[in-house]
Amino acid sequence: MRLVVVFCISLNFYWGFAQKDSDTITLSFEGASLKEIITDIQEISAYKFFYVDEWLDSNTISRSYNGVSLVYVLNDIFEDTSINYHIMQGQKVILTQGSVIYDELPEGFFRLPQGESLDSLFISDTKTIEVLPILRIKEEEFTQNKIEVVRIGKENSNSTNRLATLTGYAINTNTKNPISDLALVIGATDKGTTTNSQGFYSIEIPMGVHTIEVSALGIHGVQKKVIVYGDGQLNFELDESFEVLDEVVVEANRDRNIEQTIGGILKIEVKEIKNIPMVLGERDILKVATTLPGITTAGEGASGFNVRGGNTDQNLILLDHAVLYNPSHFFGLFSAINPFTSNSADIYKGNIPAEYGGRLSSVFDIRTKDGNDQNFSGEASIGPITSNLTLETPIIKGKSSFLIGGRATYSKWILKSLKEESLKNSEASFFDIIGKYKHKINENNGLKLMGYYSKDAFNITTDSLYSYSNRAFSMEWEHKFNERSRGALILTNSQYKFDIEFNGNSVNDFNLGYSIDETEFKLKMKYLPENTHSFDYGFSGKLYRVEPGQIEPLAGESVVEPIVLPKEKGLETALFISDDFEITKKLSVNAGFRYSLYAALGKSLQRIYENGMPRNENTLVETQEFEENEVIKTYGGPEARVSARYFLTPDLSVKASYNNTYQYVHTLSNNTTVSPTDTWKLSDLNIKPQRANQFALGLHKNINENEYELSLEGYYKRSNNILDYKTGADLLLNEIVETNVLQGQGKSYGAEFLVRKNHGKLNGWLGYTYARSLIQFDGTAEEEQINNGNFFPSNFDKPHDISLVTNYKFNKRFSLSANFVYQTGRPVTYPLGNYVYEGIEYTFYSDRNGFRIPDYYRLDFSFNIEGNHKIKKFAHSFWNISIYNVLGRNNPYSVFFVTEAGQIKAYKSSIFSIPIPTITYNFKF
Amino acid sequence: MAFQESKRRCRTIVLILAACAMNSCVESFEPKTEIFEDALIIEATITNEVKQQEILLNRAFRFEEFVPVPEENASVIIIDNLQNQYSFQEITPGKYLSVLDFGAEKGRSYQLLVTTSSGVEYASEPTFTPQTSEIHALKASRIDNEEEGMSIFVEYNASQTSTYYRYKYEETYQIIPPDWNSQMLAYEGPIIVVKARERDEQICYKTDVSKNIILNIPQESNENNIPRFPVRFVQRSNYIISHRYSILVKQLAISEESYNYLEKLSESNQDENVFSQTQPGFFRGNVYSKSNSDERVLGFFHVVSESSERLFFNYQDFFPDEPLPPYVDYCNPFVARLETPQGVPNIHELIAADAIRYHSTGPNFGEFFVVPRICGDCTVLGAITVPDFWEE
Repeated sequence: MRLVVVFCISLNFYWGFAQKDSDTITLSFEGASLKEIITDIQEISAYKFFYVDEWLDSNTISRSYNGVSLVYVLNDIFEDTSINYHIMQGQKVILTQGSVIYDELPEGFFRLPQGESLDSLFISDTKTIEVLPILRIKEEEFTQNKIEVVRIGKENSNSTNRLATLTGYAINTNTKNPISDLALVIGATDKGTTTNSQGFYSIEIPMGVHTIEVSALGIHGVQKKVIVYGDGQLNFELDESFEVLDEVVVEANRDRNIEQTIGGILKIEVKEIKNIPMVLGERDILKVATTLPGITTAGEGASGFNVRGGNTDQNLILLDHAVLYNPSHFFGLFSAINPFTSNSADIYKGNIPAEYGGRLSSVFDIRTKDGNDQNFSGEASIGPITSNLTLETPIIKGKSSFLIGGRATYSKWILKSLKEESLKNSEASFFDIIGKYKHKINENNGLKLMGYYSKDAFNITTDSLYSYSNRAFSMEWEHKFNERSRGALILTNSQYKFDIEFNGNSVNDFNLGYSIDETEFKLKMKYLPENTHSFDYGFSGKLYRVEPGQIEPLAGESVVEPIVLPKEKGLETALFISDDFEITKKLSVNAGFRYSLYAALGKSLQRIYENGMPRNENTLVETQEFEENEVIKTYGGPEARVSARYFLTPDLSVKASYNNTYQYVHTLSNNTTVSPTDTWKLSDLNIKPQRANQFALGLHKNINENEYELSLEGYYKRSNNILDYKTGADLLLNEIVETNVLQGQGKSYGAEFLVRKNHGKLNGWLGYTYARSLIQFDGTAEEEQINNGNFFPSNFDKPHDISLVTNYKFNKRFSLSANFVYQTGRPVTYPLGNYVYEGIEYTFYSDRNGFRIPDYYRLDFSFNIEGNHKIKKFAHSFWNISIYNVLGRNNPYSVFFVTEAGQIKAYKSSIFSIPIPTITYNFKF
Repeated sequence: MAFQESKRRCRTIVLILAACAMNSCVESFEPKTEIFEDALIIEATITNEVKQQEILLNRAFRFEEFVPVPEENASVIIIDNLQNQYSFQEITPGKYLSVLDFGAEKGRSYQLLVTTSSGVEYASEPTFTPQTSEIHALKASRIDNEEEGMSIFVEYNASQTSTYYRYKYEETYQIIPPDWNSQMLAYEGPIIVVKARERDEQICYKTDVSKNIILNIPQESNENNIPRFPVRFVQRSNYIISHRYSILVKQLAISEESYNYLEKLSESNQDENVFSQTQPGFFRGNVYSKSNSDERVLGFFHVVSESSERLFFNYQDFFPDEPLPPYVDYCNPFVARLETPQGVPNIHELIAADAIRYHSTGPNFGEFFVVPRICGDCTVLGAITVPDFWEE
């Protein structure tokens, strides 16, 4: 650096001296480097050389000169290098890399209009530009742009040739295979070419400074500045495209959207979501998901997601392969996924890869980030509701690391300190903690261990305490057999449980509990036989153990009768194979096949009812007893996961997919939204697995080098054996739950439109979805019908859904973002009137979901202030100020009616009816 | 409960941010009635007792209204499976009685047919008479758990298990006011004097009818326990058991459909957990419109077999020498003055309003001590006539 600066100054100083010399040199050397030669010349002559050491390569040459001029020597030794020289008065020799230093300006230089090509006129080392103001015309961007600058060839000052031939090849960094059809475009000219099938190219371009852009499908395109002095070679080693661009908030990889064979995938990078305004200052990966088409929630503060018209129990939510049954805190106001420890989430809503199964609608594949294996580092955030701390540390530097992250509320403390009596005694708290250990054993083996625990506790009345917890553990051992074959062995265990304690010092005090536990073993292999194929295959086995509920009296005087429902057990196994096959350049197919088999296992008592009759006590035929681990009933079948992509034009692709799925566990819920008291029930003799078939068709387009992404997807989904309950059913602690539930059909369809701007100061996306979700329960008996057996809208049927997420970056430190959400109000069952029956007033209701609550809309703002980016600073800080619901819209969350003292009273509840400002402080160290 | 929060308090809470999530803003509001849907309500329970059977026809009403509108001038007929017709006539608006006495007979099914004055026809599903099932035993016993009181329960025999029962009761009790006095205050000219009572107001009787829907399916019990079901529980602190108490328990054997309907009906009126409510829905009874299958018709046509049993007990039988339950009102004697400060009624005003009863006369100044009328006059609460069935 220093040397360069000195050089620059001196260059400035001596500018304009003539290049003349006639001294002779006698010198011989063998196997000497250029540097040694120059040193020798300096010793035997009066010449002084100015240069940067790095320019002189270490190649050695052997020569012998006798009484030749310096010019001759220099021409000779620099023959095969890109070094040019300039001999100034005072016997000073300045070496340059490629550049020829002109000692006079070409004729008419100052008359040239700005912007006319000066390409070959002067090329300086880029570092010298600051001191050469008259020659900066085209060069300004050099100093600002981090684009790599490459020098090509050596200029010959005698040459009149203004064109140079650039040749080279392009290979894939990972596979080392040549990249064919790579487009090279020379910026500011119309020139361009493509690589041939061996990856080679050749192009004639004007000498001078150019920007060369290369791009190809599936390849992460790059830009290079080249300074062309003469003929030369420029090779490209390019990555496959999966790098996330800087300004993008939610990013499908560049071109991934149009390239990937599978449609209906959303990728969320956690580090990019901080610009989205969030309620109560919490970054939330799952909340971001709901701003994308096809994913909705039943209402504000409702936990659970409805993906393409599917029920909330139809989503497989995986945290490092382990299932999370209830990934929410505080009734869904916050997700239980720690944003600071998460890396990314892939959401499959269209075609689910064959390796996943067991849920009908979607897979949320959330991955925890790897700990920092170089330095100890951390991140913390302080918000109004929660605080968050993440620490990362290497265990063996460069090999293994440990990451631990925790989050907790201090609402408990806030509530306690309030004067309001009823709040003082209430409790609402949660925490979650996650740890991950990553160990790179050697080149071919890697181990990852993850443990997670979350817990919520709250009370609605002072004498009851609800609590629920998720526990997850996963272990993944990755092994690379060879370049073409890899495998992973995965072991996971998850548990979800809830508990209700009622302690009112009365005879009714009780403690009620539920838990589900699952353990999965999975072997996943990947085989890449050749470029056009990519096989994934393996098998998995999952054991479910459910304790469907028990209630026990709390104190000695309690008259509550203890009930313990018998345990349930089930084994779900699956084989899967898929091949991502590129048939032609334009057409690729991902064909997946999964065979899943579920066995309900004893020990159990199963009730058998009369065939084709509504299940109730009267139709009970017999009760059959099954021994421990005896197979009660098996279900299963083939599942096809097929999708195809075809490029209509290089930036427009069409994708189609067909998908069928089985689901063997079901939630039993009387509630519109997910509630912590929802129980999961395994399929058994009476409850059949749910099934779904989905067809999807989509168009994906990139505009202007991926600056804009457009997609339009349509889907049609039919599901069978979806569960609902009879009106007024009692599902908790019910041993004969099959008499209270119905299995029916679902039908959903929709069109999802998304436009995304990925670059620039203003970026974000706009999504619009038109979707319907209809269900039908048409049993033979009246008690098995809902709404006369007709199709009716499900609880989450919201035809119109608009999400706008925008982010404007003023500069590196300040950015403003805004969210706007509009949704059709969700269906409700409305009271139509009152009546008196046997002296008591009742309310009668419409058909199930016959009406809708008012439409939902909300606007949020958020302002981010980044701390400055000094490298040496201890911590990098970041402030977020956000206002949730700026318009103060009182969006009803639910409308309900209760009878109080013989009178019907209507209530509507809303979670946030006024704008809510929050400030969060984050820092990284 | 959270739903009692007022709007103002909601806002305060929101400002505290943290608490907001817990105590979401729940407000009561007046629902819009544009969605009101008119509907016919059929209230009919035909019993096996031979009598004039009763059917009530009313219409649903808007939330802001409080009184049902009777369905007048309808034609009401019941047909049994032998094509016997029983016609009904309207006695008071909306109340229809059978012209002839009849009772539901074993083994027969009955169908209700209603044609409104506007010509719309309604019908019920044909409904069979359930098996008659006598009350095996009706008993009362003292409960000494945390909640003290008297439990009145039925006992079943083995053949009665797995039958659908509905219970109704009529409870009749003696009321003896604690400060009854054989003397009263009366005017002699302008002067108030104490003289012998003119009206007997010492012992009254009152009958209350069960309102809630009481349902039970007796389950087979193991061991030698006799299955039993508490039909009525009277807390010890309830004044109605202070003296002599009688209850008539009616055991209605009903169909499974009736049972399911009544169960849903009674559940539909229970308070829910407010944060995430159970979704209600329309549930159909066994009555429908013949012309429009989408029309909502409310109510149910029940055919039941009824049996009843009565029992009596005295407070002393179960709580001998224990204090009586507190009387229904506080009874503190006070002096009724001739002249009182502004706003406080004087003795003339109190007598004119029939608000007091004589208690005693002060020994020194001759002032009258009185009690509120309810403490010395049982007719405030009941009737003096002894019911026909009453046994001492």
